[in-house]
Amino acid sequence: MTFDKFEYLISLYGAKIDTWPEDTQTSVTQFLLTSPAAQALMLETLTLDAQIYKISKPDFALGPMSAKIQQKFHKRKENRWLALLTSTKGITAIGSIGGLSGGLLAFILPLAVDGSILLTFAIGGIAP
Amino acid sequence: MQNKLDDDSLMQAAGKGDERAFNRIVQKYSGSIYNYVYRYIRIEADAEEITSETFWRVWKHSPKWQPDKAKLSTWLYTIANNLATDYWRANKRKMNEISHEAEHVDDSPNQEDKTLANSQLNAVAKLMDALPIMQKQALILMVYDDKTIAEIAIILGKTQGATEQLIIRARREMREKRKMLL
Repeated sequence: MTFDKFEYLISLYGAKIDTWPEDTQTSVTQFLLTSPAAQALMLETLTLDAQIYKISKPDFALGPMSAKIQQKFHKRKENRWLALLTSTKGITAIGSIGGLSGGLLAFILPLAVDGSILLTFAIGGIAP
Repeated sequence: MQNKLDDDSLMQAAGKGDERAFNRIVQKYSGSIYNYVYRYIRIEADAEEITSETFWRVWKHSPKWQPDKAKLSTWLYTIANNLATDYWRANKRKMNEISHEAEHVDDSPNQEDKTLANSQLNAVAKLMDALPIMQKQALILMVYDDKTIAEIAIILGKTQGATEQLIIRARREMREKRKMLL
């Protein structure tokens, strides 16, 4: 192990030696015992990593946040149906259903003049 | 390993429309995803929106979930990172102003230690904010979220080699500039 190699590894993996590649851990520990420069760099990195951890730490409770996100998610799910109904596709679908119903009515209504035919439609063709 | 199996079965259930399974995924990961996004963009309401959008996308794509491709947490971070990056690009000027206003507070009981620690933390926070955005993200993912280099590479859409360089440059720059400040 050289200081340059140590500097490279500590810059990459940080101060927690147990996260370094296994084949480097023993040689690094031995190198640390003999090199004051490596010890100083280790201490510096430990402090820096602890500070980075501290400024990255959440300043809110995870439980309420999860509930908040869940609420937003479910609200969004409800809104999706509303959005679908008011979208072009939704309006087209509603229009098509309306058109089809209208068409069907237009077909049935003239037949309604003849009661027997209407009855045939209504009860499945068993009327006289 | 057990964690991955749990996540995979939850996602498979969610893919079949099981909302309770999906709620468990939200409970498990929304805090860490929100925290990551918040550290990135620093606006609470927008971080909530991005986190919510992340889970929305996961829900929409859950029927196509392929467990052999990546861990669920890596996928979540990747989606959140992409959304936050889009947001950051669209609001770059606002982001720069906010990042310099941030205050970080140390919780040590001694007042003198507290003041010193606070000023050091604020200095480190400013150094972090001054890093190129990908270096900052890579460093947070490694130090705070305990992600491996392989996972960070997937989340940031980089090769492992490029990810290693991001982390090395970030730590070296932080070390150098921190020395000048203290």
